[in-house]
Amino acid sequence: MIIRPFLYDIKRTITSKTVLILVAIVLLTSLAIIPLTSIGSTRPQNNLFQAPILYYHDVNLEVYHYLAYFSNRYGDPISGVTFTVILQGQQNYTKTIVTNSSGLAFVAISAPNASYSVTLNEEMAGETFSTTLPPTASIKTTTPGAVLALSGQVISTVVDKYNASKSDIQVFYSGDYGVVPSSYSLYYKIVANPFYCSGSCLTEANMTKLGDVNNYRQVFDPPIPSGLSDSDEVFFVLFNQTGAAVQSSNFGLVQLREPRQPIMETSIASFFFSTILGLVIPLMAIIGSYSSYGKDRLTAVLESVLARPVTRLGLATSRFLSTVVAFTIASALAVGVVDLLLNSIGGSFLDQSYVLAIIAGLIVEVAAFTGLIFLLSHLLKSTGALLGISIILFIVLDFFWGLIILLLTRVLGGTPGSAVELQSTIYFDFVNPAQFLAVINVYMFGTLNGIPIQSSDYGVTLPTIVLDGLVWVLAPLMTFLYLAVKRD
Amino acid sequence: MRQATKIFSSKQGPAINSVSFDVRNGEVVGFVGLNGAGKTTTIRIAVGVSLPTSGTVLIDGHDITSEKAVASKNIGWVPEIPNFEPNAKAWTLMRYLAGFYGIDRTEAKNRSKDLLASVGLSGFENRKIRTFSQGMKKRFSLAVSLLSDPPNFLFDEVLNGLDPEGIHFFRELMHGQKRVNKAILLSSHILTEIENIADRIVFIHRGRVIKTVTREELGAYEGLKGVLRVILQNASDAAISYLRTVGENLQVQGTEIVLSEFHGDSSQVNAELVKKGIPVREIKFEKTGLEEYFFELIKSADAGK
Repeated sequence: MIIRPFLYDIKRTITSKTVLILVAIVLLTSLAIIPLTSIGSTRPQNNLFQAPILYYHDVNLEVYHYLAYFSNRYGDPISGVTFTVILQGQQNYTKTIVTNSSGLAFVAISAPNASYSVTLNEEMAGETFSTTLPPTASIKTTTPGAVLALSGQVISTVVDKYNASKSDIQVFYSGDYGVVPSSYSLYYKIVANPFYCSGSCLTEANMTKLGDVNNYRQVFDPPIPSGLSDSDEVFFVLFNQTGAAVQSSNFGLVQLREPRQPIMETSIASFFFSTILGLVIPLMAIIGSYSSYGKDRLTAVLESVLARPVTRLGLATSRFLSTVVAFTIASALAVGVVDLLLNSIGGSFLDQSYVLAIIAGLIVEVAAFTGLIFLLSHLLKSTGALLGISIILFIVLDFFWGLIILLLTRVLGGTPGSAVELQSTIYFDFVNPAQFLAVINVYMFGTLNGIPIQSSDYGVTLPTIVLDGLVWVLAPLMTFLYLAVKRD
Repeated sequence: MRQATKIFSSKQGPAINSVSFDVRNGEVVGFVGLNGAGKTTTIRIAVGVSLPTSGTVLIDGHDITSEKAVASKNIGWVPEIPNFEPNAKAWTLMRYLAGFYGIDRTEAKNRSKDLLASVGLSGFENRKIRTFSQGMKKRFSLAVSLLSDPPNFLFDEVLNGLDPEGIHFFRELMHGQKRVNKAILLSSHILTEIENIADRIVFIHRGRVIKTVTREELGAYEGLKGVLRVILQNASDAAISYLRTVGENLQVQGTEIVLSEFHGDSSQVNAELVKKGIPVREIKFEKTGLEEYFFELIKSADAGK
């Protein structure tokens, strides 16, 4: 009986022309990420990463084999790379292959068994890389057809495609005589640094299996538990079917888990979210709140609705929720669009936890500003006063906040970049809903005003952020609801 | 309404003070008071758009404050100055408001169309409310109040701003609603309208109900008071002497004789004059009872204060 008009009013407000226009503006704002990426990024998907080069020599058939894999930094194959192998000896032999859709180039050069110096040329889109490999005579294999890695790393890190802030492990390898590997397995072990190993400390028995390697190239997402030291290391070992280690690599833990410093896309995104979206969302929330409640209340239009079978609490809550829901959807869509655009430009999605944190932050900003405007509409007497105060509030909280902090820092005897300024900034950002995203960025990346900090030293922790968010959501809302229900 | 009091500011006195009255089914109750007496405040509290500082309002047994949603379903309200979303089209707004009563879309569409036509707004469905005149807004407000066919109506100065056709329409509507046992509270400063339609009249002055009278009680009072205008072919002495016997304060203006305090039945006076061979061109009785009654009530209320 009561819920139906409540839901009905939510639907009506969300689908109102003004709210839809504001939502469209928010979505259009997300397109501003495109020029930002062109400024801050250099089309990373075209960057050719040093390919691991595998080699084996078929002595009986007198054929030199080179197997290369070309990828971008995410490990995605790059086709169309011209791969040339030049054997120089008494006679020169050259062979050129263009990588296939799997990014693989198989080069087989028939040449008499002899000593050759080897040069590799890689060319793509006008970019040329030249690499000199060890001379063929210097390469000794224990078994016929055994594969050796001559250049690059068989076990390497690549940027996670779904989380640009962490790395995955890529394995590029082949079986003897260049066949697709089978019965190979990748194992890992997290160790404290320095790690002293004597004897058989890195065997299948005392390592954790990450997965089987059944293809030339495979990517693994190693589970990295939290609570480990940044100085810890992770060892990866590739074992063959006999349990013998054929390749190994080790990486610092910080390389694999989400780094403190964001990579380019995340950096662009954080700038975009905290400045542009952090500016637009409060403004849209203010206009939306004025349109959906403040104006109607102060011009008594709301009474024409209040006279219907709806409670005061129901009407107030429905208007608040519908405004917040509309702009939450708009914010989430804007963040999604930004993520998709960054992915299409840069090749990787943003870290999911960062995306969720940003959306949560935007919800807090929307709810806080909506609550404040709704609340003000019960304290002020005219639409002009409400608009004026709202605009002043927005300008002070969004544009003059930095200046206020600067002046305060001066008063407290601090200088720009000093610890006093940083602490003042944090405290002031906590009491400003428009800066909530900035606080989240400090927490996520441990930097403030470009200065690396230990965020917990400045009071920026998960509990303090959650508490701050709850206060900004609940305090204006509860006060507004009290006034809406108890006062005319 | 029981002991309803509204205090807007502690610096001022209460806007209404312990106001109590009933409106029963099939009854039209007139609500009469000077400007600022508290009529609109009382009605706004009764409708639920304003909160009483104390006291209760029951709509068909449901408290308008604590059971707002249920109580509001039983009310049709036409405010003195209807205030709807100015940029909404009549048609759209009507269907939006119908949604609060749980009226489904098809039914809302049909009912809106019928009601807009019935209040004379046919052809204006797609016009924005801001383009409506005050009278049109009032008609629209009436159409909205009829959406859920509620058993109770509150009309606040509903005749203000209406053209004669609108006044006639409202009058007929109220008679119609009364016939089907609806309860109607009608506030108006056009006292003749109240006199003509109200079964009871509640007088409010300075926020207090100072008197509630039935039509019969008022009629008895009216029997003593009134203005009789008689236009004769010739204002003869015989006619004047006779008329002096049926009233006081007689004034002769040519062939027109005015008795400003008439005590009797105008049809009997007419018959008597004819019987006496005095040709009567026109005889007209103007009731001033309610107005005078009202002013007397105010005077005594102020004196009592």
